[in-house]
Amino acid sequence: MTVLAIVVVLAAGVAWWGARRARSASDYFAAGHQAGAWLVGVAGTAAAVSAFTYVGGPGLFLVTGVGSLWIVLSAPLTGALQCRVVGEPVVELARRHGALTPTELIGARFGRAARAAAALVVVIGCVASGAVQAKAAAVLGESFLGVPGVAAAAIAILATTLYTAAGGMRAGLLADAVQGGVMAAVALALAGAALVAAGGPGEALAAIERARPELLGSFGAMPPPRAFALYLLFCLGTLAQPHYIQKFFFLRSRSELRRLPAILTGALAAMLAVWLGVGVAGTALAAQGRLAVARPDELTPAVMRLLGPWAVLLAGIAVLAALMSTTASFLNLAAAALTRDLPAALGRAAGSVTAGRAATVVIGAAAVVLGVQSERTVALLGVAGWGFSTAALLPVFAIGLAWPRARGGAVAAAIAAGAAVDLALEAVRSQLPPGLEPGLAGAAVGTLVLVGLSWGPMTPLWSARSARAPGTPGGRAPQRQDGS
Amino acid sequence: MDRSVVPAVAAALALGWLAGAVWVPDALGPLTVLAVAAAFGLRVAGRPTGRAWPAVALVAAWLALGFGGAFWLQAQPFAGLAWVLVVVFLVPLPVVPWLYARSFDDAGPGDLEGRP
Repeated sequence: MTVLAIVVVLAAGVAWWGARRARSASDYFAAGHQAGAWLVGVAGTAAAVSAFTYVGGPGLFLVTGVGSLWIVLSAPLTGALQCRVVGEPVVELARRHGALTPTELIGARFGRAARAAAALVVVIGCVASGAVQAKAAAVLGESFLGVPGVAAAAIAILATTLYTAAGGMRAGLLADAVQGGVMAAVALALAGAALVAAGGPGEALAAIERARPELLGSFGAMPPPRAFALYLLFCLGTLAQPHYIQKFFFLRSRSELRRLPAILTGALAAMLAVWLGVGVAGTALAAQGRLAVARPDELTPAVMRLLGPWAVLLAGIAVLAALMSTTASFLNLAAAALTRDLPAALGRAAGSVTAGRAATVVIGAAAVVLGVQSERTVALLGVAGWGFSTAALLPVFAIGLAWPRARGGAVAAAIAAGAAVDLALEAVRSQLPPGLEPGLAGAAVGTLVLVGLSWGPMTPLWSARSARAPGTPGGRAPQRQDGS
Repeated sequence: MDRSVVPAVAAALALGWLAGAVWVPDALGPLTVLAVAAAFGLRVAGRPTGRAWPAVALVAAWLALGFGGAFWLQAQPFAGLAWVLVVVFLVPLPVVPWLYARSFDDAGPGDLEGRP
């Protein structure tokens, strides 16, 4: 409980600092467009790496072995891929249109219908992903900190809501960067300590081979088609996660992109060490009979308890940092979608920063309620949340931004189709073939809808020309949307 | 190569992925390689300079090698794990960001909205 109390005090300090600096919408939603590659890289990775990595990942290794690693094996590619496919056009278009968030950019490029569809997806996806973090906070409280799960989830999300509501991404970016540094250092330390406790990497692997050799093949206990599907989902999915794309709006100049992939990749690799290190060590310890684990999510806490109170404390702090940094981005994005995008899509004025603060609080509360009620594991919740954003937004960010002929109505239809297919398949996930990942299937259907409708004849209903920039037929002048 | 190929390639891969996932699961490995390479190629298509194409080709070749080796070693406990960790993960870790920095185009992404 002392850890949580300290976190609340620190959050209050960051909130006070941020509230004095977040005066305009540009400050609040885009950190004033003043961040460099290092700050954005470390903070962006902290926001990207959630409690899923610390709690769900090692637990998944216990079940599927090397197969679980296919979720993170694309890490060497994703930094460069994000900057190449999304970062470069986003930085360019955000400057041209004065957009502050991914959904505003969609609106500026593709019109109101697309903006409304994207905003709805962002609200649903961010609340669901916030619920994943609340669920992880509940696991954290019960397993690491010895407090009731509901109380831990409420306090952790409340503390995040406090500084995010007060200081927006001005405060969020600073907090994320500090949390990212802590997460990377703790991940490396815990991975190393866990492997030492299991007798070293060689002995740990030998113990797994004696008990469950199938876990150590290239795909572990996972069918290869499912491993490939997860690889692709978490590789291309980075192009569609709103909290990943958001970081490009913080950059002060396009040239910062050149070194951003190296920073993103290095920080990510350090944080992923915990997945492999604790996963291998925990599975070996279970095989040696030194750990009893009833559910996958209990593996990391059990390993930390074996290491000692220092490890429990460090892991608790790292998981708290991971879930808070991720939650901050989700809260801010969902608040922007609720108070700026949806009103704008209905032809009304965008809400003020005060409205954004109020929305942040409401979204934080909704995430806690949903998260603590869910019966799914953190890993399953994480995959489902990631897949929803991928299904709905990958076609627009990967294809739409690369193809000048992509039309607004087609983009809106693609977003709706992708989201609907993902939700429908998630409902019957246990009956699907191993390679049919709902998020990818939704993205594939969305891509076909986007291409088909943009190529085919368009009615005025589908036309978004009126919202396009000057230079396009029927375009109008862009308007500064930051309220500053 | 101009941007008119973007929707054709995207649609073909989307259809191929759906069909593979349902009826030909063994095709998902090659399709994953193609999809990732195509994603990198999306932004290179239509650029005034083609300096990023060798990087795209290198990434595709490395992915094909990594996935092929993983498939070959799937029943070998230590070799399978080592291949995945070293070849698929650790080797490209510093290389891909370096390739990006080398092929970074200061001229910008070019036409994004169908401007003349």
